[in-house]
Amino acid sequence: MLKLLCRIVTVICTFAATAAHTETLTLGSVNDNVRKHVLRFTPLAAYLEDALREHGVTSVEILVLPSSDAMARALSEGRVDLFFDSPLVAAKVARQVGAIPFLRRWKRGVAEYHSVILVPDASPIQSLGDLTGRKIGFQEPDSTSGFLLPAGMISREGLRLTRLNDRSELPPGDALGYVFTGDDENTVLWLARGWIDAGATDPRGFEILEAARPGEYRALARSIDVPRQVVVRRAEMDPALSDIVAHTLIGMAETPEGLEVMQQFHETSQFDQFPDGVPATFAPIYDLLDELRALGIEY
Amino acid sequence: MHATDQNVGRRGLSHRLALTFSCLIGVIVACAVLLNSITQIELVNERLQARSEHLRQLASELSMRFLIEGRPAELEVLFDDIGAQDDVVRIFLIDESGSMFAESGYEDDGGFLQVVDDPLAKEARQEGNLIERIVGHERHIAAPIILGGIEYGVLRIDLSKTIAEKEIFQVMRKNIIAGILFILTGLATSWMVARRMTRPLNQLTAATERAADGDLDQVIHVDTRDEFASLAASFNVMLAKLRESMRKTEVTAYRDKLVKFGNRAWISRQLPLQLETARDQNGELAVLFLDLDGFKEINDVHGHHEGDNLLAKFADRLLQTVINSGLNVYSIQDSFGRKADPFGKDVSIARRGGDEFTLVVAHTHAVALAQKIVASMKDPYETGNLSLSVTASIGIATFPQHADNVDDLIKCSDVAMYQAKAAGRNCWRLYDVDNHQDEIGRRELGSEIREGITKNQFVVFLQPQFNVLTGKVSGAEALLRWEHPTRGLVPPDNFLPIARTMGIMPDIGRLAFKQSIQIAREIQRTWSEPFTLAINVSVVELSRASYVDELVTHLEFAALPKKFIEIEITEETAMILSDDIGPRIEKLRETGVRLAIDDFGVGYSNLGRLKEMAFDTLKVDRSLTKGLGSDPGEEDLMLAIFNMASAMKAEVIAEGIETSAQLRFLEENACQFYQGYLGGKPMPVNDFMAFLEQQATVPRLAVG
Repeated sequence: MLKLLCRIVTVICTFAATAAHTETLTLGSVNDNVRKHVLRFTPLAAYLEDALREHGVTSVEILVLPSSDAMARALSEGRVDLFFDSPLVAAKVARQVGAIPFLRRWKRGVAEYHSVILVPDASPIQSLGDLTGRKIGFQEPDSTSGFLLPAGMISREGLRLTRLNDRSELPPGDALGYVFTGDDENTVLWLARGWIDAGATDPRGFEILEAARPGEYRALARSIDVPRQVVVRRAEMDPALSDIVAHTLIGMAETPEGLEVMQQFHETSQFDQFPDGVPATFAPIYDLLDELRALGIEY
Repeated sequence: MHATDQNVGRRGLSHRLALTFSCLIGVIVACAVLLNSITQIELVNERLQARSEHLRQLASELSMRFLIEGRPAELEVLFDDIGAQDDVVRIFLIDESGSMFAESGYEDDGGFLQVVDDPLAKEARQEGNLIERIVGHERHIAAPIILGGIEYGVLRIDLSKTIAEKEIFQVMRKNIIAGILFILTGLATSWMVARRMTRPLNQLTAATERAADGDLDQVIHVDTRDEFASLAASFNVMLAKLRESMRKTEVTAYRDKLVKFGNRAWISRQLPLQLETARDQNGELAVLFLDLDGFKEINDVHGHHEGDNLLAKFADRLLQTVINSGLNVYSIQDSFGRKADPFGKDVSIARRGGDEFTLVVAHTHAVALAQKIVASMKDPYETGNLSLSVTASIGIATFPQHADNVDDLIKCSDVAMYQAKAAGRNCWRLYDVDNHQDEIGRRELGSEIREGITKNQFVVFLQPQFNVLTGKVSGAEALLRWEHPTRGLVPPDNFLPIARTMGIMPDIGRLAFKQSIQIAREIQRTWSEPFTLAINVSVVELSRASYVDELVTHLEFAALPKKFIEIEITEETAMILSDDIGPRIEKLRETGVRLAIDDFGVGYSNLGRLKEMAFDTLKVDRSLTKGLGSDPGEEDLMLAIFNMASAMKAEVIAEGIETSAQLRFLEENACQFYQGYLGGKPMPVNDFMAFLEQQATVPRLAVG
């Protein structure tokens, strides 16, 4: 608890600072629940602090910000050194401030994942095109699997997406109306309650629904695979330190202590380099983001 | 009562009070602790109840919005925070379809949307009310979430009772510790209060015990200003009265009623105290043992009344002698007020009994005082019409030279007194350790005399008396002998003086008289010639009327011929005969006995007194017969005695006749009878009887 309090104090102090210190490594994350995320990051920060002390890093701090835009500013201002998030959000922020995708983070043993659009099994909707005039639930604008991937996939099918103010609003007949549920769980619930005709979630959301309502829902479409999680580093970060950090994170899978810390860090399985390289991995993501922007879909 | 028992008894009330107080305090504290514990436990439970109710209401309020809007993810964040609290085990919400809507636990969303089979939730839903259950150490709450009459779900909260139980345990522990401290404090307080309450009682008890042990001079102080103080005051008054009463009693008990000195009990109490003082101060003191010479005879002759008068006069003179010696008489009254100063001028005087007195005096004054006392005795004491002369024998023993304890000191002074008597009386003697053994032997002999009386070891020997003219046996004198089992035949000179001082002469005399009467009867049966059996009777015996009556009875019972028995009294006895004894002799003579004056010529005689007695025989002492036949002067004296006897119409028996010249003088001068070794020594009765038979056949002893 004392350590946690120290961390929180450090976060506040760091938030007020205007320039990063070379001795301090700051880990960043985007989430509304600051406390929950600080708790998740604390074991990793402590581990890195111990591991990097011999390399001149005197402390590792955590900075949780409410939006990707805020994170972009923090990266550009040097207040965050490493940013952890889903690949499309990470790609968006990286491209905004010139940050560099750094490592891939496995979650729950999964290196890559995708988005899946679910509909009731009894629904007449058989293809994405059948969604016209319907209502779909997305998670939130910064969600890779809950919005960016499915929205891109739907857009490529030529469907027009239009945002509804709330779930009670009826969609226009020539477009697919969408509402943000706020969370994959909400999306699944809304779909189960029939408040929406389809819902976009990650594969785990589908698994939860399948467990609760076996056979009652089916996957209408699945997006491309993208890394499960991504670590982005600040462009100005010392390359030597960057390499040491990368080496340290990748090496965590080789020790029991490292495995335990990763498990506590949102069920992380391991860190690794992008197998196909950063350009090959992120080119489709950047394309997707461009398409969405071209269609006027804000994210 | 044993000392320990007394202490136990004395502390018993204190212990019982302390125990009672302790029990009361213990019960009260236990009840207080119990009530306090129950109250605090109820408060804890009420607080927990209030908290659980507050938690339920808060969760219900929070859940309503997310439940209606279908936002379990946000609700789970709140539930995670609630579930993170120590006493919350689990919180979850079941929607109206019975599916899991939201559940605490960061990553645990495995049950989301699944149908929940929760009996408590079902019961709450059926009842439409809050349901609570205690399951093990947990409190399970199920509360339906209802808005506008529509049920949206059931909130379930599982609360741990462990914290509450810990809190209750701590409450109990604090209460018990406080209770124990209270009880310990109560015990200590009880003990002190009980002690304080019973202290005056214990003081009174101790004072009573001291008073029982003789300490009546104490004053009890009790400052309680209550009933105990009143009791103590009454006790002090009682002690004062008891002191006065005890002193009067002690004065009465310790004062000799005749001479006003202390008695034997007083001196027995004083002497140890003075010895203790002497021992502590390395001092020396002396005990004077005083015995009046011849007092017994005076008592016997003149009666106890005169004897008592004499003692009183003597005591006055003794007191005056002490005062005139510059010394101070330490009285009984003095002994209640102060300790005697045995090294100063204090003289403690006590009458031990009879004519015995004890004086305790400083060692340096002892001899001078003894001398003055002896000197003071030379003047006779005038009692009524009598003028009695008496002397004193004083024995002196000193501490620590002669003895270091009371008994031995008294014994040594007693021995010294007998040494003074042995030295001729009317003198004082310092204790002589060398003579002590003789005295012890003398006392042993005295006890053996008593034993000899009971065992009939005293026998009568007979010495024949002869008719001078015929040479025939005319009679005999009964003489007592002691056939001692180890000492052999003991002559009377060796035991009669001791028997006389022991006051057992009448016992011996009675024995001798009875034997003599029996012998007389036997002689009377076998001897036809005139015969007289002379029996000695002492003045002590004659002074007792009952004894004389006894002799008369024996004589009358024997029915002997008149003149067959002759009673011999010494010349000395005859001279001091009182008015009482004369009639008793007459009473004896009325039975037909003769009267003889024995040992004539040894003492002084009052011829007038002799004439009054009308005796029958005058026995001339051997000291006057020794020179007969050889000493003309002694012969002239004897002739004068013959003439005097003739004038008094008395016969003469010359004692100590051992030679023919003595006998010839008797024959030539017409003396009637003689007694002595010439005729025969004292012999046992059987020998005497044989001697008589022989005399019957033998012709008259030829003189010449």
